[in-house]
Parts: sequence; structure tokens; C-alpha cells
Amino acid sequence: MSSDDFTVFLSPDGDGLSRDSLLRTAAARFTGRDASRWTCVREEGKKPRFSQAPEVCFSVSHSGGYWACAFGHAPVGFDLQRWEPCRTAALARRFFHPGEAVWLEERGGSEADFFFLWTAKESYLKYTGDGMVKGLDWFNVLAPLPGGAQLRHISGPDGYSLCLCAASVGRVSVVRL
Amino acid sequence: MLELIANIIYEVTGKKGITPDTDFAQDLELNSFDVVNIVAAFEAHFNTTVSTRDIWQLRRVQDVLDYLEKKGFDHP
Repeated sequence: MSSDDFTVFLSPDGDGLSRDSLLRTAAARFTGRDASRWTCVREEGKKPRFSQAPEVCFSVSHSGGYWACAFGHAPVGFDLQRWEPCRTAALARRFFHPGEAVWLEERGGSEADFFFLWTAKESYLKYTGDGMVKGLDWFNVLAPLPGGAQLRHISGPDGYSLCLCAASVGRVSVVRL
Repeated sequence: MLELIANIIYEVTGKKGITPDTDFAQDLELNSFDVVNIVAAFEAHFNTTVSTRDIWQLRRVQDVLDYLEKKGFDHP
């Protein structure tokens, strides 16, 4: 596995295991180590990490009926989102980059296109660690991203969008837990 | 005002049982999209704009109540 390869673990949410258990299960599968006692450290303004394995990079997302986490050996941002009914064009005009809003409107404003953009934007912000505080309108995921970050949209369950962001994205494997 | 906020949250997310102490992420398990969708509904209802910086400070329902009072939206 090279440093730009990633593995996305996908599981039904609320299916008996807590999200922390899902995370440890996925970490064990990814690393081949016993992760049953690993602790996830979450600090304001920092990416979550395992105190016992800080070298393992991961990014968690949940939406609708699914939980997912991308693992790799390099910083990664990942987002999964169910296509929720919403006023796509209005939300894009309010929160997205103007170029993205125009693109969405010209294509008819479908939920598939809206969440294609949404997951790309959120995965980029998770990758950089900037979070949402600076907003969503200062970068355009339809154009080259600041710093040369790369996006990879991933096939997932029907009615969901998934996107991964990293400095360089090689192979992405999807594993269902 | 609490009832109005609860109604908007219910309309947008289907979540019930809202109290002032309700935490959007911890209790309602809302993600970033849900929050943005709720903010858009608030903005439409109150004909106002919530600054990006403020959006992510609103973590509990009480924060929203305080914010609306501060902005002069004391009554529905």
C-alpha cells in the first residue's frame, strides 16, 4: 500500500456497535493490530487521532443510515452524506462558491449534484483541518484546490455521496464492515 | 420562542424532544449539513443572515435562543 492509497470502511449506523467500536474495528482491520483498547482523542481545532497510534490517519463521517471512515498513511479528509430533501439552489447560493452555485443551477439543481459538491467541500475542509468556521464559499471544488489537494468521489449506497480528499489520491478501496 | 425553534428543527430534520439544553451534535446527532440546512431555515423565517463565524458557535438550543435575543428577535 503506498502513501496515497486509502481504505474506506462503511457500515450501517446504529447496528449494534457504537461509533467508537466501529472506529476501533476499522482501525484493527486497517492496521492489522489489536485496536480494541485504542482511544480516539478529539481536540478542538485538531484532527482526531488515536493516542496509541498517532501515525494512523483517518477521517470519520456519518449520515442517514451509514457510518464510514477513511484510513490512510497520509492526512485525509472524508465525507459521506445522504441526499436529504432541501432547497439545493438556495443553499448553494447562500453557502457555496459562486461558481459552484452557477454550475448547480445550470445542471438543474439535483440533490445528486448538490451533495456531489457538498461532500467534496466538506472532505477538503476535513483534510486541511480548517473546519467550517471560515465558511464554504472561499474555495471552488470544481477548480484546482488550494495547495493542490486532490478529490476522489467514491461510489456508495444508493442515495448517498462520498468523497475523499488528500494531497495525492491513489487507490481507494471500500470495505463493508 | 423555544417552540418555534423546535418546530423549525423538526421540519428540517424530523428531530423531536427539543429543550434549551439540547446539543445539536451530541443529542440530535446532527452533522454539518443538517446545521447548515437549519440555519438556512432560520434565516428564511427571520429574514436575517447568520454570520459564518456565528453559525459554528451555536451548539445548543440555548445558544440559538441567546443569539436571537441578542439580535432583537425576542418574539416569533
